[in-house]
Amino acid sequence: MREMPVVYNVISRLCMRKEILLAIIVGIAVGLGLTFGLYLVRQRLDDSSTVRTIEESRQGSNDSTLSQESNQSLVVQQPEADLFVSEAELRVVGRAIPNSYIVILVGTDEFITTADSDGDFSQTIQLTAGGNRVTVVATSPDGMQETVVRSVVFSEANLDAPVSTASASPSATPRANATPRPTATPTPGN
Amino acid sequence: MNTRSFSLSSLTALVATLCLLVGSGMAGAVSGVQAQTATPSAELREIIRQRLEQTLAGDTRERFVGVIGSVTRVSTSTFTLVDPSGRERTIVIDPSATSFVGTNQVRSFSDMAIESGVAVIGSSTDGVLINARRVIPAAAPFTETRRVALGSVDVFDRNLLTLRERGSDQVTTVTVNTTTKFEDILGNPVPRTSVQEDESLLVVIQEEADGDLIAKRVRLLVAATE
Repeated sequence: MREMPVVYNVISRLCMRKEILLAIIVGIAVGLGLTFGLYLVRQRLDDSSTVRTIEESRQGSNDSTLSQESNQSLVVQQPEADLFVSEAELRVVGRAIPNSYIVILVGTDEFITTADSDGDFSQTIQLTAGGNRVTVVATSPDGMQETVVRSVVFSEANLDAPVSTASASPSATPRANATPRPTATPTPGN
Repeated sequence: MNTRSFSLSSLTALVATLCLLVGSGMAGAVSGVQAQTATPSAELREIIRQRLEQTLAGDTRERFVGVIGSVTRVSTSTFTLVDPSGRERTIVIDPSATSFVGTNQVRSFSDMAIESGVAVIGSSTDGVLINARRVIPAAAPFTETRRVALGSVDVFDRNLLTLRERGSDQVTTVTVNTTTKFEDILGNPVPRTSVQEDESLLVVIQEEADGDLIAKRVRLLVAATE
């Protein structure tokens, strides 16, 4: 209990000295200045790393082909990744190097078109029932080639129909006796 | 007196140093805490807003997706596949909601072989985990064995077409057979005799299992002449 008056006494003596008081004030001011400077630096670093993280997670949530496309000229706007459609006719829309030759490989068919002077192209293709790998190959006039792959599943089946686990159809064709579910089905676009 | 003055100066310096150290320590601690709760920049706020909108939109509507790929693992209630882009998806099978569209070879989930092709229709919010509604085995894996070549005719001799590819100067020789389609730049059929030396062509080449290259489609990059 005797320490308290001693400590108080020492502090009182210290505070009575102007130099010490000034040193305390200057020390606190410099400390606060350093605090603010470090805060600004860390905030900037933290913001940029957070932006990068969110961008990466956003990229990750999209189809990996989208990230592959980020560094190339060929962009396939339609069909979107992982598309389910209830119509066999599908329009492929995209952009490539102007005047490129566009070859769309789907099933055993090839559809060939040309990008216009702005690089835009559009081609209607026919899907087969079930899974379709849609490979878009753009070849520029000087021979540079880029490829984008899309997965499209075509089925006219009613997804709300009761489940039956084995329809031993020789072809991998889904049942086509029911109406599609328009509210849940992304359309291929026009 | 001198001794007392000296000790006071030392004490002043000591207190000032301590204040600096304490201030710096506080700086580190405070900035560490504040960085975590820092007000995001406009860019960050915009990204977060978009992300929230996407999440909310995803929660309010059921998104159906169609994925294809090769089966990599099969268990009782799930299987995984790798799509043509190399991305792995996990397919969740719910016996009360998933319908298996079987074939003569593949009649149930347990018949599905590793590396076999399959198409799946289902709902998903993140594109990775898919609650299957329809599982459709494919007759073959979704691999692509065709490629496209642009170049000029080096040699065209009966059944062999040698193409000097544009850009790389790679020389490719492909076999031309009765199924090869020849067409002009508009896609109209033309006789194979229309192909001339040094003419520019776009060729769809099919690579056979034995390595042979077959010209599946040959498009002349000039309009047909009457």
